[in-house]
Amino acid sequence: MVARGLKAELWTIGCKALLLTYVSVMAYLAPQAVPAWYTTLLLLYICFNLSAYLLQESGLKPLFPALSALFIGIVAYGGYPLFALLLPMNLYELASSFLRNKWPIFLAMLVPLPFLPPDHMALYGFIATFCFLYNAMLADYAGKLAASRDAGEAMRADVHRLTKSLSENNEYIRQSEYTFKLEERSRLSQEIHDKIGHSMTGALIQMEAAKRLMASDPDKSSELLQNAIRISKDGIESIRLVLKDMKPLTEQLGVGRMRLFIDEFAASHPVQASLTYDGDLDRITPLHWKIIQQNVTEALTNAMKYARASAVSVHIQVLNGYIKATVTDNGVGSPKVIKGLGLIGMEERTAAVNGTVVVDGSRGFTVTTLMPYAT
Amino acid sequence: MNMWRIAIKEWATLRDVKMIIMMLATPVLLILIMGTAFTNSFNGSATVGEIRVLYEAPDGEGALAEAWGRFIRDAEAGGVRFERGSGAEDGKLGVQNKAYTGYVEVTEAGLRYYGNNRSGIEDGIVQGLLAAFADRYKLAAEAAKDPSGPQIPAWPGGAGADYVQETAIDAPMQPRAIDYYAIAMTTLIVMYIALSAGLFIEDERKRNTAVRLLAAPISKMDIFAGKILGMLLANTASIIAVVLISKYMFGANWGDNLWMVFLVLTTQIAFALSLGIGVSYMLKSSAAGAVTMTIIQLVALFGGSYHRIADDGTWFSEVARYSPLRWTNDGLVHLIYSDSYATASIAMLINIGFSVLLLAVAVAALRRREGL
Amino acid sequence: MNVLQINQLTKKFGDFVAVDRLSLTIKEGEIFGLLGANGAGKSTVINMVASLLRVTGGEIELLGKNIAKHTKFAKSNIGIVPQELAIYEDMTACENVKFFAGLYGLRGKELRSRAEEALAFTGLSDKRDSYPRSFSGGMKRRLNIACAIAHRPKLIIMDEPTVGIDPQSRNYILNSVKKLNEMGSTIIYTSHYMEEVEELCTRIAIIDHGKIIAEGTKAQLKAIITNQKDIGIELRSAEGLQAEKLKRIAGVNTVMLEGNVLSIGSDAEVNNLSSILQELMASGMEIRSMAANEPNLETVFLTLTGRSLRD
Repeated sequence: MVARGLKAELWTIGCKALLLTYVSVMAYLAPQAVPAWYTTLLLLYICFNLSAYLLQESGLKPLFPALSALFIGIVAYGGYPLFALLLPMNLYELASSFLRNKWPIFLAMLVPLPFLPPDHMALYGFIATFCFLYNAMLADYAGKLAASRDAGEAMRADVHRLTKSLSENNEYIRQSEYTFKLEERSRLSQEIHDKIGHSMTGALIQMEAAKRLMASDPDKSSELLQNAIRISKDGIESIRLVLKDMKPLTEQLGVGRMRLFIDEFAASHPVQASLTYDGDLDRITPLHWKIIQQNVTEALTNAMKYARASAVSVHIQVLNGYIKATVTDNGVGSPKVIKGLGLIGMEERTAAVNGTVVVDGSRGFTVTTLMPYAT
Repeated sequence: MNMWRIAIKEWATLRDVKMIIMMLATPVLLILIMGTAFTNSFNGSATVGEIRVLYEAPDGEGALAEAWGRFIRDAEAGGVRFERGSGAEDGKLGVQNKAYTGYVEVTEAGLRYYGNNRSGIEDGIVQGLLAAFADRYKLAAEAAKDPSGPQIPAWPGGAGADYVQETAIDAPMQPRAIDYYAIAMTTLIVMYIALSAGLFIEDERKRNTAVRLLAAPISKMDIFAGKILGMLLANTASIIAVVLISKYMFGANWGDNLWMVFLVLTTQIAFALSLGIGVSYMLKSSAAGAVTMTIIQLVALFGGSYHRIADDGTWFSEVARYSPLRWTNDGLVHLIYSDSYATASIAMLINIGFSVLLLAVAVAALRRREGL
Repeated sequence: MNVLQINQLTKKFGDFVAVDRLSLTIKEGEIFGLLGANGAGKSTVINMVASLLRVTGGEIELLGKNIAKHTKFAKSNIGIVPQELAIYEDMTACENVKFFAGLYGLRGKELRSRAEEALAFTGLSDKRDSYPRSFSGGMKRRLNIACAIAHRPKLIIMDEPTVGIDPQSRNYILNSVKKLNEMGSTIIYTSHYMEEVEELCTRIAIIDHGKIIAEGTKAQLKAIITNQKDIGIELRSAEGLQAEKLKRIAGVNTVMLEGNVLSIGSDAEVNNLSSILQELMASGMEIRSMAANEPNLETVFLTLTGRSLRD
């Protein structure tokens, strides 16, 4: 910010110096002799204008251009119309601190024109127009530069943050995947051992016995075989049951995962988090759950980043025809919510199922995801 | 057509009796107050009658004594009383006490005059009278000395009030206080129209009628032009009323060419309207009022609204050159007192020029703005 | 036919998004209610429909024509009753109506008769030559309406037309709205007063933060919360009550008796109150009091947004 101001300032000072040189050279070239205090006036002008740059940051910024303009006006009026050529730069500075629009500034710069002696009018007009274009261009480019620098700055921060969270997430995913695999493996082996293992062993023993009795007692043997067949059938059935047990119910998947997520969130952030729900959660399809999950994640992240909240709560409610997921925090909120990328992402996801996302900032932030479902 | 509807509506909303009285009473009262309060700074006829001058002159026959006697008589007819004093000291004392306007010693060698510079105008008149007397006397004396020269009657017949006319009263007719302030206050009040003009959109917004106007199938320009036209008509009517009131109630001199006067005033009203509107579109509404007020005050101060500005080369009179109000005032004075249209037409040009410029700015802003 | 079709309408004020890709269709003959808290974007939507605000994105079609392209047509067919009184206090009632109707191109005799008609419609005929400053709040509101209807618009937009007036004037206005609708105008109605919206509107959209979060008939909206209504009936004596018969009435799901108080749970959408009463009469029951607890729109709003309407 300061660096930018400095750069633009140097250009302005350069322009002023050029004009000053022109004015002084013209004055000394003029046929009339120049009184000694003309130099004093020039020096005073320099003083006024340099002080303006020293006071840059304070609220008195327009004061010095104003003083300088007044001073020039008096001097120009007092018999040195050439001095008026220094006026446009100061007028621009003065006017630009009050007016945002360019054209009124230009008009303000032309105000002294009618007061000048006729032989200076054209020159003044030229210099005023030149200064206006110069300054306008300068302001334009300085503005653009600053904007793009800010944008670049923000993007770099974003990239940094995203890369960091990406690598963290990857690490986390790898670890959990491994843990889940181990857990699943041990559960599977236990289950297989408990149920299928027993039946298989039973069937095997029966079949061994049947083989031995085949010649001596065919009746007994066939009975044993029948037994083995039944045990095997049970085993197949129990395999089916085990497999079915292992595939979790959608409801468990949704709420369970959500609760897990909320708990983890509360554990890893300095915040209290709670999950409540009511209504018939079976109505929520996996697609809906996915959207809810993503929106809640985004909302919680935002709450941590912007809201300065100490507690967040997530409420999932199934109404008649609507699924509603609300994330509420007790933070600062904001009277007017400005849409960021996160919010737009949420909206797009939700719009895919004809839903809406509403963000309210009147009492902390409330992010509501509303999705209709067919009844 | 829609423009006219809105213009006519502007009229209707001005029907408030209190408002009309305010609009008329303020300038009329100002004219009355300023016109009476500042009577003394204008060389009005009332003061001329009271001029008293002490003199010391040779007695007896002699051309000088005779001429002086005749002069005194003539002057007396013109309202200047000459009284014989009793010695120079007494005379000067009388002048110092302000009992007399001046003291004059008449000798063959010349006139010696002690004036009282505290009563400037009377003093000036007396000085003028005496100078005229001296010139005449010298001329007559020359003629008497050289009989061969062209015969100039020493005292032309029926010279009567010649001295007076030549020196003071028959100078180009000058406005009295009431005349001057009738013009100055009227033009000042016209400037104040800028203030209400600045609120012209604000007004519709406050009454929420802006919504209705914008929702109707008419263009923003119709609304804008209609409102300006309506205000121009309404204000012109009220200003004409002020002119007529001051003319017939106070006997203020508005000259023989009233139509031209109204025309000049109308252009000034247009200028004031555009000033108010232009500023209100250039700045935020809170600042616009203050800025307009400042401009009005400056224009009025340098335009001669509060006191008459002589063209005497001081910086004040130089700055005054740039006040549009000054041009209008001067234009009207010249129009009324010397039947000259030159200044008035410059004034009209300036007024119309500024109006066009300011309205162009306002229209440009209006086009880009959402709403009015 | 669609009187109004709004497609992906967006309005931004700087960074702030006041209306957010809002879509809406209003059919001929509807009284369409816009429900939302202050600052939800109702007025912004209305103002864009009335061409008072420029559209940032999306489009609005009135009677099948895009209002951005056919602005004059759209303006001529819309009458707007602004939220705030928008009348000239220093013109008479009749002059007000005539002035505004005149802006819609009415002239001469027609202008006069339409103005009289509008004044008569709002019950202000006898006040035609009085100045509004002598009017009561309710009369001013009525004049506010008269100024918007003299040109017989196809679509009338009423933005909180009953704010701050006495109950009598309010009833008058509500009846006028119904009458205007019967006479063929489609109406958009916004109000804070839930009862008004419930009474008048054939369809309702709930707006929050510039978005429509739910839309439908009263019953549809109420059904979002529950499709049950509770009917509580207090009897002088419950002796001889045949609960089984009550259960057989269409829509009735549960019948419970506690002391002398009978609670019936029923489908909200089924109109079975009179059958229930008939059944009770037939079995000689004497009814002391009864109340039907239906969710109202306020509850719907509260449930969907988590805030009450008048926050």
